[in-house]
Amino acid sequence: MYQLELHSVLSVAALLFCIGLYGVLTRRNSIAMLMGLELMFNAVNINLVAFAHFLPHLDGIILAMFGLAVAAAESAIGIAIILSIYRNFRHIDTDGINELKG
Amino acid sequence: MPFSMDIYAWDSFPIDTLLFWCFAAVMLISGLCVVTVKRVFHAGIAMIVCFVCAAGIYALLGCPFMAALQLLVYVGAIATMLLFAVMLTDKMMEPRPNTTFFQPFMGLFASVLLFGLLWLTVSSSKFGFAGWANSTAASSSAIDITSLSTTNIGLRLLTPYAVPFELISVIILATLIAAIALARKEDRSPADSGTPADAPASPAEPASTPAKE
Repeated sequence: MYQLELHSVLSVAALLFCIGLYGVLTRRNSIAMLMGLELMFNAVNINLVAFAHFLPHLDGIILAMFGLAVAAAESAIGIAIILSIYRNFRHIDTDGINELKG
Repeated sequence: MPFSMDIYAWDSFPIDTLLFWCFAAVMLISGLCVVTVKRVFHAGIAMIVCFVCAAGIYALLGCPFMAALQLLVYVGAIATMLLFAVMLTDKMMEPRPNTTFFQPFMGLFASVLLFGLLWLTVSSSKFGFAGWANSTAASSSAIDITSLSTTNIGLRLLTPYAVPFELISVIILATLIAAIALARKEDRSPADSGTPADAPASPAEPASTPAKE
């Protein structure tokens, strides 16, 4: 009765995903938006590992590892772009960055 | 013997479920801190707590390798990188009004709507996949794919998934080069003909850009 169920893990991951979405939608600082994005990636990975545990099937772990590597790459590129924007604009607020030709 | 009864009682105690809910509660609370705290540096610290709790959930779900990977990549690399970016860019301890007036309500509306949709989907679906993996395991290779051990992960990653594995390493190499090329300072050698006053003038000139609007 008190066994851990797939539904509870999926609900927690869905809640974390929605928290991350709220952060991405409401933050103005680009780095804070990236933090919300990382929360969403984390929720997806929790879903994958939960399915791998409850099926059980190994491929969920493999897909989660690929997702982790791509998330790390995305985060590195995003931070590099943010630093480049900061060098041009002296701030990283997304509502002030409105011209491409710096 | 009453002592053995105690052992039986502890044996049936659902310690992993309890631990899961503790980790989930701390993870969700720190996630809320990440998206609501005014100072971005504090949000980064809360994000580290959130990642560590996610690693605990991975370990509870029977995959300690994924937990170690989470600690290494997210806590060790991504969170450190984000905190360094905060320290390099913003005046980090200065709270900023984060949005316009209506934007939090619209974001709240969108995320609550999405959560309602996901909750309806999750609670109304019955995941009946008893024996599903065993039926697919027969057609697969010699690896026992129903066991999530680290040995099996390595074998699976390097026999059927060897090509995606190598492609991921190419992606990471491209990311490395691109991140260095993007974040590097501009090479001033073509602009050497300009006056030395060019360098202090360049921060002042874009600083007037947000005031222009």
